[in-house]
Amino acid sequence: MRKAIYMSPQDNVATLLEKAEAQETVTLLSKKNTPLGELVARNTIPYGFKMAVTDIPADTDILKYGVPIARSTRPIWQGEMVHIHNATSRRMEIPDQMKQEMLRELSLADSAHKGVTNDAV
Amino acid sequence: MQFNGYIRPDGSVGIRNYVLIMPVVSCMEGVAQAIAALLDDALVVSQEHGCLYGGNEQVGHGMVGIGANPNAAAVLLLGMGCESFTPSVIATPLEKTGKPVRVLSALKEGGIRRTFAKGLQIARELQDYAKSVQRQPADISALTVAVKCGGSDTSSGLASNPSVGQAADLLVDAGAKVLFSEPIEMVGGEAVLAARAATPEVAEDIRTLVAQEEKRWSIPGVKTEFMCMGNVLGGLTSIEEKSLGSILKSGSKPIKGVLPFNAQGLTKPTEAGLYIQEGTHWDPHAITHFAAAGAQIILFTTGFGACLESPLSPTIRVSGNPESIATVGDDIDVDASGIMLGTDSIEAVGERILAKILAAANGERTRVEGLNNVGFSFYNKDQRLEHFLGFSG
Repeated sequence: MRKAIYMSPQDNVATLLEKAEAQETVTLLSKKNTPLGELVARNTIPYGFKMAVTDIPADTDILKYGVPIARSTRPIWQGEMVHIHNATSRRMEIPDQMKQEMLRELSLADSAHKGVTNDAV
Repeated sequence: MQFNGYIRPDGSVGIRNYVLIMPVVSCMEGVAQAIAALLDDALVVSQEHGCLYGGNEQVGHGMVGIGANPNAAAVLLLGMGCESFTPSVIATPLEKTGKPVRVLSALKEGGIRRTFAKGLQIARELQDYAKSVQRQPADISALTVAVKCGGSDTSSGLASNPSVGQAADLLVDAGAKVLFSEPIEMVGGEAVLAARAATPEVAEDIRTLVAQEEKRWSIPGVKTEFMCMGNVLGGLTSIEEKSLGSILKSGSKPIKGVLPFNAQGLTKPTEAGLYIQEGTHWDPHAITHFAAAGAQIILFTTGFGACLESPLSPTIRVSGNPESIATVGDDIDVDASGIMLGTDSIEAVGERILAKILAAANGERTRVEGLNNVGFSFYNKDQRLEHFLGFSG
């Protein structure tokens, strides 16, 4: 059983406190370590990365700490990793060439795409 | 709470006791290094700009601030003798602190070889003076502590930054001054910060500060590093997410003011409390400008273990990433990883950070003090760019 911290009741993402493999069950914890429920990870999500706790339509605020931290660039499904491959800042986008280098380094982000297309649901 | 520090003529209290060798033009860097190498506790305050007065006048205010920092006992300024930005531009305001300030210009002294010989003699006199100053009891309220993050990952926003924020609250309660900065890491967090502003004017100053910095870093076609590779590999998706974690290290106290730092001058805090010091998020520049603003100590949070040390103001590193503690924990001064593991609390780590501040103030060296000092990197808003962006400051 893996754990993720859920910072605010308004949030639509939780942050993994340990790595979860695809199909593993993840327990959501409040800031006070109270268990709030369980979700299944759709893909491998490393420690410190975010998981969608609801289905998130495209161009929707990603909420963490109860406030918007980004917007979705495509539909994101419950249990899916949320990162620069499917979300971006509303204020200052990472310059594209740098972002492509980051995506390459994050082969995780590329693999996160696989099997998690819209058709998969 | 008390510590033993070096009381300076202006009443400020140092926790270190350095002689500074300050080349006013970078042409004098080599001789400054040669002199410092023969002293016990000297630092060379390098500036990479060559001559000043090229849209970089702000650097001069930073240099004055470094010389005035209480951790400096005395200052030797070195000029070539042809520069318009003469050593006296720095020396005149520095002399007001009452600390010994000496000036040499190579062309007046008969060249570099003679400047070296005379400079070494003067620097040794300054060192003798510094050694004659003994530590004496001082109150914690004499401290200015700056908070900075670097190498942020998810653990920064959940563990190390909130813990440093707790320590910041304890410091403010004890009457100390606390500075934070990094306006780019306030993008997305303006509302949270403005709600903590002591007055509506301060709230407006915060919004202006952040809006201007956002514009500086959003120039089309320019690759700008406000999110580094490590941030993104550490799980941070956007500047907003980074900001909301970053500002937690400022604690919860009211923000008493936004202190300007620009070509007109460097405004320092004059009374106890929490302040935003205008500055930058790039680590070496930020560390230098915090020292210039008078910080004797810097708290530096890191996720994946980025480790740097301010040459003048000892730097206490705090990390909450268990993997970083396992790999580079030898460099980390305060371990906050128990928060991520559910075995420690923000309150308890905050108390340990405060204890570490007092230990460092009493002379205990931080984990990499003297071993991985960053170079002095002076923050400068290029006045030419400021003009074209329509900013007056």
